[in-house]
Amino acid sequence: MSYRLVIAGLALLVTLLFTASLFTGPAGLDIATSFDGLFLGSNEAARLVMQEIRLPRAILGAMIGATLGLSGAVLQGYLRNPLADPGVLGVSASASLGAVIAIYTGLSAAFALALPVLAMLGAIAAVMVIQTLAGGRAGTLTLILAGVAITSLAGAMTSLALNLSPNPFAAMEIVFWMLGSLTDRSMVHVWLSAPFMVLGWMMLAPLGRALDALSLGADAAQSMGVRLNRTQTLTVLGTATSVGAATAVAGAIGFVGLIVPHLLRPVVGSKPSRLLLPSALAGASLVLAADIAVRLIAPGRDLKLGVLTAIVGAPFFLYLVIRYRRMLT
Amino acid sequence: MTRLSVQNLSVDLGGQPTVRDVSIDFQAGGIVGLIGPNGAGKSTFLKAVLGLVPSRGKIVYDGKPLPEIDRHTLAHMTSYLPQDREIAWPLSVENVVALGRTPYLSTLSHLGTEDHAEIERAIALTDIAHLRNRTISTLSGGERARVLMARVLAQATPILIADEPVAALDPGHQIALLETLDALSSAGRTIIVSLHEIPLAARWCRRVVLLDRGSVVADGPPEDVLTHDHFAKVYGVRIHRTVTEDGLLVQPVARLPSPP
Amino acid sequence: MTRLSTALAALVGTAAFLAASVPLRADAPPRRVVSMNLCTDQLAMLTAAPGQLHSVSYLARDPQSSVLPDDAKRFTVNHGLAEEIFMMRPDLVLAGTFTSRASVAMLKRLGFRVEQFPPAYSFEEIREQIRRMGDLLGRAQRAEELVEELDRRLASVPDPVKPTWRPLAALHFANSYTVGSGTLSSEVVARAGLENLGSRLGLSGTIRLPLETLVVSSPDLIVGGTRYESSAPALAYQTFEHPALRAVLQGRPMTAVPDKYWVCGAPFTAEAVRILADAAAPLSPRKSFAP
Repeated sequence: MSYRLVIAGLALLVTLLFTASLFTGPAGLDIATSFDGLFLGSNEAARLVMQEIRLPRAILGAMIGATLGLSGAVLQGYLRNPLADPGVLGVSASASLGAVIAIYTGLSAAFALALPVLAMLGAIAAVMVIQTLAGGRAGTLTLILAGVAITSLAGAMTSLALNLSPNPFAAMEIVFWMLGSLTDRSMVHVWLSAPFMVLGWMMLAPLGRALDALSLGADAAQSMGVRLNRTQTLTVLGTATSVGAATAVAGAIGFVGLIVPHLLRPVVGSKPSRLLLPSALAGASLVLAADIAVRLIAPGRDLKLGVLTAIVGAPFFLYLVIRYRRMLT
Repeated sequence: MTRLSVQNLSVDLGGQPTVRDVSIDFQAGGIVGLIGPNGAGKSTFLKAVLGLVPSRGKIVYDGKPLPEIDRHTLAHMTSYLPQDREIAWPLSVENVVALGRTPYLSTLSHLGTEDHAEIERAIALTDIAHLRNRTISTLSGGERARVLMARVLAQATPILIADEPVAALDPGHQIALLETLDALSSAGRTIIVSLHEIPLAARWCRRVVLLDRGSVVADGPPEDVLTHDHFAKVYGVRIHRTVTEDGLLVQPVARLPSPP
Repeated sequence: MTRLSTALAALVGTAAFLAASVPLRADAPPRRVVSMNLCTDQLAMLTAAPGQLHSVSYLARDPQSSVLPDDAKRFTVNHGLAEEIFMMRPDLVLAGTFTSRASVAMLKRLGFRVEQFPPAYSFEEIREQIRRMGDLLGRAQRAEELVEELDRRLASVPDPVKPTWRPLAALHFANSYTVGSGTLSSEVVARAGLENLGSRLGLSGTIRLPLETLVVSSPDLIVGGTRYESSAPALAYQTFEHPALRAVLQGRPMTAVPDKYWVCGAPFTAEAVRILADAAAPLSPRKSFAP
């Protein structure tokens, strides 16, 4: 299949799902009212629902999905490992911990940027640990186990921080940070996270050629002019910045970065550079679709997004583990 | 003309001295063969020359010391076939060969006419045209080795460094590859290979460097290096050595009794 | 009560406990009452005779949850743990029907008299519960005074000023929760002359109300609960800051009814009615905002 066709198809899918996301919600607005609310705003209530509630939700769904898909594709390419993913490697969980510290200490109330910044610091810490391990040509097993350890530790620290909070609601919010949700996000969240996600994408996008060269190993890549330090820095900072910002406003949404590149790899001929844009688009589609599904399946329940991505993603992960069993041992 | 000069190069790996005080100048013309037992430091030496492992001493390319040459510039001067034949993803043969053009492409540019020409030349030279649309994971070890060599050839650099390029190849492809490298060296390229195939080294290398425990034991034309004494001392083996109309024939035949 | 004494002796094994355990006639009012639920705490504090109530739950001292935090300081605090309450040797334990079932079951097994109070869902149930508390504590007369106080306070709230129009009130608590019909809150809202959005939407009990549903319903009044923001932040309040909610409020503040007034049913629940009625008084029907 032609690469351009894949891109065009996925772009169309994102557009359709973005639109569908705008038209999904409990308010039960008809199409005409929705359009009015979105573009004209002659009806104040419809304008609020469309522009202030559904639009930010759809924007965040698309951008967070793109972030997870793109960073999954970059991490897999950089680590030369099909099981790499921000969630599996503990990056999302660490970002959650950073965000939790920012919010529940009251830091983000005093200084709004503390939220994405601390989430990014959490993410950077996780990527650094992974990077330190992978630098010594760690096997798949090492990476996955390190991811398990980081996720558990970050999860435990998150629970601890929330349980220690004197606010009775904080403890209930552990679920949000571990499974993620886009419910009732506002434009404030978009402005807080979108610039950082875009910044992260800008660091990750030019890595295509380096990732291609890395397919042949680090030494061969360097002999082809790849600056490994630069590639590493951009991977770490780009992943941490975009995933950190995404997690700061929506919690940890798992498995998107794992599933998406893997499904697309055969379609684009396995070249890591050709995987980047399609993974971003497919990631956006996946999160938008999941966010539509949570609203349709359980309208009044605030079902967490991560529940859906895990229902799909965890069996998929197991399938990959079985498939790459020889790599693991 | 000296294209690559290595002076007093030493490398420690994990605290172990792996390359000790090696000095070699490489010129264009004729394949230089690096031989020596396992663990002699051949691969480490080659990596150090490319700046892939930290080393002491001086490495000078075209009069310019290595630390001053950035990776991108170096990739236009030297191509390298690592011993590790890793290919992480099930790429197509053509895609792998095309990776050799990486140093000539910017982030957004596409392969141009010249790039395609080099790719085609490399594919032809390594006899893999019939494999071009196959996925690398479906190839045999020897086919895969030729594809990776084609990738190196596509980089089209004045200096070509290959770590055991003929390992895993059948005799026909071994000779074909060495013919190709010989032709390239005659055309002005500097070709440095490591290899264990002593008969091939005797036949195809214009110069052989014998390494043992990180040090140069002998360096010169095959007739001077591939001697009974050197093989007895370094490998502990006896060789058959004759000169025929095809040139020098050297064949290790038996282990010598260990010295008391 | 010999069985209780034996149980105590067997478990604790000290003569001191045996000597101190209080003999009790079946019809005599209890002399050492322990309450382990915020709502029974407050009813008991209002109803009990001096010295009759021994301990209340720790929440009774929390000024955000309790209307009587200062009164609560006169009593020993418990955390609803069976072991803790056992050591207090009460002759009556008061608990909620939903509070720490395991502890309540264990106390009953140990032979303590445990009386459980369900949450009050209406003013009538509040009156019943006050009277029941009075009977249990042998303070029926005091209970009647409290019922009278409740009715007096309810009566002091002016009747709905606009008989033809009932302003729509959206209850919007942390995590976007609202309450529908069949709850004390909806009764409070109705008594204040307002229409509860949750009830209008056919909801019952405590349930999530999506923000966009709230927005399209264009309520005249948005009623929130207490925020614990002062003590520690939580995401639960994020929707309070949502631009869409701010727009619906049109610059007016949310009407805050402190949780403590209507989490538990008591005479002070009338205060919640008064706050809502005061907030509703200046409202007038406005141009429809709904699609």
